[in-house]
Amino acid sequence: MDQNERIDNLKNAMVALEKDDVVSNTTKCLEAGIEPLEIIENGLLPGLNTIGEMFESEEIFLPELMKSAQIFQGAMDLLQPKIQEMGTDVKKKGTVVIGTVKGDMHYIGKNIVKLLMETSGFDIHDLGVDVDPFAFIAKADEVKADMIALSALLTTTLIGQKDVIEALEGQGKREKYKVFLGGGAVTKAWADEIGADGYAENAYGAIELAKSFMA
Amino acid sequence: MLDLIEVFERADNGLLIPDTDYYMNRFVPKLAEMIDRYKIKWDRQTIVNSDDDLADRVFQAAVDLIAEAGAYCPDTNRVMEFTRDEILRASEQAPKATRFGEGREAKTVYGRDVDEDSVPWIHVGGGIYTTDEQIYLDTVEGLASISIVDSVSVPSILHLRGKDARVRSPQELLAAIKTVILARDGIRRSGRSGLPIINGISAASNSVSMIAAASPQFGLRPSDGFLIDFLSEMMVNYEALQKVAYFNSISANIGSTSTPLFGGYAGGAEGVAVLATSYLLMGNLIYRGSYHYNAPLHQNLRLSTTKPLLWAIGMSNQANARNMRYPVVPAVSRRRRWNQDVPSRNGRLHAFRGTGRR
Repeated sequence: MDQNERIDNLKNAMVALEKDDVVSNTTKCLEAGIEPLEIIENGLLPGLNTIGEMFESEEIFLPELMKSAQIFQGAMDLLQPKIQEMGTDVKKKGTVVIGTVKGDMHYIGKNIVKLLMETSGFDIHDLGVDVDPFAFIAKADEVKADMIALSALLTTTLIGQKDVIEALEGQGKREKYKVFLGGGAVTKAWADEIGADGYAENAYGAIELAKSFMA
Repeated sequence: MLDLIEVFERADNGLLIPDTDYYMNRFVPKLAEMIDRYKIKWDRQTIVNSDDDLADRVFQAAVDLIAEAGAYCPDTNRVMEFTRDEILRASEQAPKATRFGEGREAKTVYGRDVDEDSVPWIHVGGGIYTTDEQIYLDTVEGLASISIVDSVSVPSILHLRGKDARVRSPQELLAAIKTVILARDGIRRSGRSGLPIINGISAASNSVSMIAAASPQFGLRPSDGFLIDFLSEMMVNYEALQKVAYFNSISANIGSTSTPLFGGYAGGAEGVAVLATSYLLMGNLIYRGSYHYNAPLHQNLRLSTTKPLLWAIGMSNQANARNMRYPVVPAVSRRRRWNQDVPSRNGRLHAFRGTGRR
């Protein structure tokens, strides 16, 4: 079996959400001498991309998306030590701090964005719901984030997004982070009004926006 | 029926696990198991289900989902567990009729049977937000003036002195009170002052605002309806239970409310159908509801009228109609406030599929 076939098997196992097959195929790829980064770039990530497309077309849903993230992590647990032995690291596309703003308890949409961004190669730090505006900033400082992603489902909690931007300005850190918004009540007009860097109508929009910020 | 304090104590004493464990190790696998166990399958060519056995299987799947996964209280990080017997007993004792309104506007709403031809309950309004008090009054008066209307959902007005109130702020509490006062005044102007408001209290995001605005001097009555929602999915928080405690104490009509998300943890059509039915059961078991808002929603599109959702909503309503007959308000699409639900099998479109009026 040549290397391309092994990589294809891994990709197919990822798409099929077969955890044991992903682990065994990852192991076989390593044993065959395929570089860990190649396994990730040509096997796992294309599989995750396909899963993302299936999610977008409603062939699969959030539970399958979460399962894909867990399976991916299982494969990374095998690959990460090998990568570190080589003295390299998997390059993340960017670092994002994400959360639902203060006063808002909704999280499912945020979780979908988080999962899709993670599986697209971003490093995500999820602060959960009802997040204090200064907690966003503290975490962004701690992890040296590139972006802060703010979710608000309700009209009445939109103000929490403005608060974060105001808090950043108050600390003189507004230019340090790209801030983008999402959630049921959010519109582009609102994002423009409060001076956010962008607005994403859905998870895929969030990924494209984040990529554009890192370009 | 379980004693209400006992229900509250299930939130305090159940299995202690993080919410992520609840979702990934209990709820999600159990929902998948129920769909498999009871062979719940959406035929993609179908919008209106005509398989009574499938509707009954959806009901049983919903019972087992609660019995085997439980609900989750995020304030205590505990699973609220109920036995199958407790769930079935509650479903047997669930109200099949609810009285709304006062004086000559007082009427009884009944849970309908599948394909029932009786005159449905006519409900209007909802999902409206205004900043102008005159527009608010005119809107409510207009809705209440429709002669065939039996109940209204009133808009929200969160504006106070030119600014929108922040959630959980004292201004929000005052805005919730203002909403109620204006709503009752708008209805009074229509000449139908006894007409019930059944979306109390739309402007209140939390229990403090809701309970404050429900005080009788502001205009709402126990014969109106007060909405208490489940957080998606299967979440029963202390905010909700506080409302349950209060509105049960004044014998008010409680509208248990659920919005299972298509594309979220519930997955697709089959998961939404089972989960929506579970919420109907829990609306009575946990909240002691008098009626239920069955409002599944598409996670991305934020509406309820896609083909799989119409099937799922109709399926959960049929499961309820055949096994419990708890009065139900069907799903609401984003902008249109009447029944988006499926036509009945005899081809007639009912304005309010879940309930009848007598």
